[in-house]
Amino acid sequence: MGNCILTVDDSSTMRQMIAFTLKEAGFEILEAGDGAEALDRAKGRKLSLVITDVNMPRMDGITLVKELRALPEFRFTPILVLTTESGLDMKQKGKEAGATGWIVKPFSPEKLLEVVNKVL
Amino acid sequence: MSDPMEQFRNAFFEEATELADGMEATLLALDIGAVETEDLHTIFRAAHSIKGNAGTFGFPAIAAFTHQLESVMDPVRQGIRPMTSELREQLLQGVDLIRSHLHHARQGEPLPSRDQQAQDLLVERIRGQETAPALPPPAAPLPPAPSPSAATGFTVRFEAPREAFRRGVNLERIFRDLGRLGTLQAWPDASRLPGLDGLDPEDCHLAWDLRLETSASRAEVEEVFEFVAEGDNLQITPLTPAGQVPPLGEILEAEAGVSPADVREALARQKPLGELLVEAGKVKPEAVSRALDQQQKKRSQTDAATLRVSTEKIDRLVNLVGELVITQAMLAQAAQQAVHSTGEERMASALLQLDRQTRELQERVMGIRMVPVEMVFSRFPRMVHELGKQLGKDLDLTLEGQATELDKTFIEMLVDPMTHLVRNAVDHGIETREERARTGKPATGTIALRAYSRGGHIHIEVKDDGRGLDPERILRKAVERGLLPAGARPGDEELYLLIFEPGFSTAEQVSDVSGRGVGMDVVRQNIRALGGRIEVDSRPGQGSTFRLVLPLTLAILDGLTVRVAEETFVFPLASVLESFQCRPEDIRTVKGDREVINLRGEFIPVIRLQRLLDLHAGPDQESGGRPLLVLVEAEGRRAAMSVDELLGQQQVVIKSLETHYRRVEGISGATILGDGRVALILDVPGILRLEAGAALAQA
Repeated sequence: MGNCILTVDDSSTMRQMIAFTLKEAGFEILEAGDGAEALDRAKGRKLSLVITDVNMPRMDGITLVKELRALPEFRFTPILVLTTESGLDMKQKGKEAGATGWIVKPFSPEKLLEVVNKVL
Repeated sequence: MSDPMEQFRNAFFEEATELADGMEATLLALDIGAVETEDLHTIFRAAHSIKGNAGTFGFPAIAAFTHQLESVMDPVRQGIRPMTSELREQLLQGVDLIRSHLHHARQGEPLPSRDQQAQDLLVERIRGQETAPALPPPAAPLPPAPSPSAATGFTVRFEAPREAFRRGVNLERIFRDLGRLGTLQAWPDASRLPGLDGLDPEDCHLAWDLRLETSASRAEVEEVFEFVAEGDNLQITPLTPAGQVPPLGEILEAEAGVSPADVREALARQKPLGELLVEAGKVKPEAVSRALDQQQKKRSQTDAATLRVSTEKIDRLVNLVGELVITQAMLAQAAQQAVHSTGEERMASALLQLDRQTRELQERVMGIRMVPVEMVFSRFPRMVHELGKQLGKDLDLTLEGQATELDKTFIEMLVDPMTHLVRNAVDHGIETREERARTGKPATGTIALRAYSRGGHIHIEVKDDGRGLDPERILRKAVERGLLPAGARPGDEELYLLIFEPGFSTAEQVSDVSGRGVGMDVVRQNIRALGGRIEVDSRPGQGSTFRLVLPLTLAILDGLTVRVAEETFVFPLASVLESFQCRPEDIRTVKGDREVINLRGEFIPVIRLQRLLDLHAGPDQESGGRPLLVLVEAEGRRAAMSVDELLGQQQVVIKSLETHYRRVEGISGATILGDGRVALILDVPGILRLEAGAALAQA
């Protein structure tokens, strides 16, 4: 299994922060700016983890989780959603869509690694 | 954003203060003859936690000192060294020093040299006892210390969510992470697996019973289950703490490998006490359910979750809600006419709802500022203990109504006056041992602090069962000091209030404890500054009760609204004595343009508010040319203020004028009336000072 993580966010700063942190920790990183692009990039690939924002243009994160779970190669892949503290029910929505867990924004690089370690 | 370290430090100070308070309370509650091991642990842990945190947040001096306290407590909690009343006194002194440390560290100052010396002395004494034969070395082997294997940790029942696999959850990771926290035992439970025909291989039906020996907190354990906990599929129960006897089931799980599921099943066959008693016909089911309710209530009181929020944030919220209430009142008034003319009923009912909701919102928000009166009361057990020792009196302190809530601002401002009243009660109220014995009273004197709310006010009582106030002696002193004309004999209650006059003291012996009679007047001033008043009940030989009557909150004021010229003003009701009409000729001019009125034999200055505040004349007085006066009192001065009309009494929300405009002499704030107009709140002490200053300048 590859050591590749797909990070999906329309904010490039956020993608950079995630990519930087995870690359430092020895992961390979794929980036996508929204759900639709993520779905394109993910199809047919072996990924070890997907980290996605919720609010994005074209396709939101919750839909992305559902679409990924419908693909045979992503049925059991860990998926984390990025949510804000106020979005408590977003955790629930994410779970219902099939997300493995969540990271509450704002988060530190250490917290990111901690959560990634929890699901990998 | 402020420095995150700064925030950690604030949290440290708060927590350390709480720990010191807890340490003190536990020390005071210790029954030296029969010490509870758990209390000793509590005292030890407090010192230990302060030490650990102080080190982390950069206060090595605090860490070093608390380390000493921790070291002296360690053998005590292990039962190697006895707890003595001497050690208790030393630890109490230690608590004081911790507080001083915290106070000065907060200001960024070093510990004052006086406290440093006290600390050195204390450490030396504590250390001396450590090595000195505090306990003769036992000839017989030591009694078994609490078993070192006595575990702390949790038992966990975890039922994996059915869709765990389909969400990409890696259950293995949970066990790995738990294993990192300590020693883990796991009993898988496959009893939830359905038969083969109903089985979907992608569903997860597994459950586990876990026993985790760890020093980690419950939150850390919960954290591991973060993504798979959904309400009732996770139960975390603490293991019996060290020093307590664990239930049989727990021992069997740990030692004999009995699965928690089996223990649970066996326990389930045991019937609850209530059920057994009902079956035996010893009690009615209703009584059992009432008892259970009561137990539940007690329980929820003790585990009420709390959240720390800065007072500044709350104050902003309180202010905003205040504005909202006013806007709502304005809207209601404006809309009322529209509703009348159009008959729009939906609007009327929506407005009614808005009215109710804003009121409730206001109440709730004000409620956030409220804290239990316990925060003031809690300092008195220590104080009374010390005073009793100092004065050689046996004292018993009872506290009642500690959960009564008060505005946070009051709490800070109540400390001094209450301290004074309690000191007085101990010093002057409670008799000496000999005197109590002579009069056939129990040797132990009782001081009772009591708080309760009544009629929109909070009452706080300081009551003693001592000798009571002596009206005749007060009368004599009052005449001596010129507070009363010779031959006057007011009623007892009026006499009692004289003890609050500046410079009044009836104690024959001036003592260290409650000083020379300065102070009771300060007590009254402080209480008045809070918009409250003091009442005194006393019976010779039976004791006295001092009752502080306070408004619910500082943000709201009981006011007397008046009209002066065309403006509306508010007098704080607490400073108003009476209002009355007089004949124009009752007011006499003295010394140029100063005016006085003879009120029952006393000459009182008259202040024309219209002139003082430089207002244009308004509509004619409704009083038909007879001046209308409001008699006010503050800081021992009285004056009669002339107004044009009394409008009524109402509660007003106080707004600061300084933050919106600037400080104005004679005005303490503003409020917005129901019709949206602004009314100024008169600063009665300020006006009286202005007047006294002007009078002096003229003389």
